[in-house]
Amino acid sequence: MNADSIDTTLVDTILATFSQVFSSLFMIETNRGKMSFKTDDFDGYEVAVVTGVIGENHEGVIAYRLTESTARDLVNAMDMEDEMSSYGEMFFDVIGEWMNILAGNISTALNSQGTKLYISPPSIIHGSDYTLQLIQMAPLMVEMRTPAGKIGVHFAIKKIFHKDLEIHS
Amino acid sequence: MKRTILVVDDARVMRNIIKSNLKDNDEFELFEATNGQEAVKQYDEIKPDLVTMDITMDVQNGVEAAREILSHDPDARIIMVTALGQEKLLSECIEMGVKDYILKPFSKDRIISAISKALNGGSAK
Repeated sequence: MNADSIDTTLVDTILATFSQVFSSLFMIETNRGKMSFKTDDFDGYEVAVVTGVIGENHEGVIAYRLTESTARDLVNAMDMEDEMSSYGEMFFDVIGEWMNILAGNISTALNSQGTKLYISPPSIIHGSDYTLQLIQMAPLMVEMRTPAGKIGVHFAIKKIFHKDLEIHS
Repeated sequence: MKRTILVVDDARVMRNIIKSNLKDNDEFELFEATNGQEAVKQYDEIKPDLVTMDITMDVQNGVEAAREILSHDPDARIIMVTALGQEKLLSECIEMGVKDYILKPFSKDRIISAISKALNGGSAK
């Protein structure tokens, strides 16, 4: 993805859906921050969630990066019974549910606009010493600001043409 | 007499959210299962008044579990709980006789209203 090939409809729909789901799930509002093609803005953030994307006209990856502190706040916001003490155990549960719900909502929102897209279940990376290298393109990074901290949404999605591909949702 | 509700979801956080939304209501006694197979076993043992059933679960998914429960008890009150994007599976569930469905993320009002409606005889079909 580069400045000439940004699918703004796709990016806008995904970010709008991100905000809606975030607000419903965590009761936390988000604001769109800066946008860039720099890949290292979120280096050092301890949590990365990577989802694959495949559709009639697109393929690639969407990755979300956040700090452990932000993740902890989200776990506490979503889990109403076991605050703080169960963070470790609830971490994958909460991040996994969030991403599954987000994937379904994004697919449905795009489908209603005529864009068929399947989003894979999330892969979650948790740790301080990793490098996130997305497919051979400069990913577009959009910063989403929340009271719990910044979340980097990285889009590495390219347009394709599959003559015979059918996506069933 | 308390109404018994079996909450079925493989994600503990979702079970906690549903329980937390219902715990202020003294009318409900809550049970949990973490997959479809456990749900079928518990249903046969407890005979709950209502089941909230996630669709995507390991071991046995919610659609298969709902089908099995309804084959044992055609009057079972089951509410499917799922994310968007599972419309075909939801249609299948409604056809087989589940009472309602709830889309994640849901509000407290939505889940309480769906449960009240199902317990009082309402149906999605």
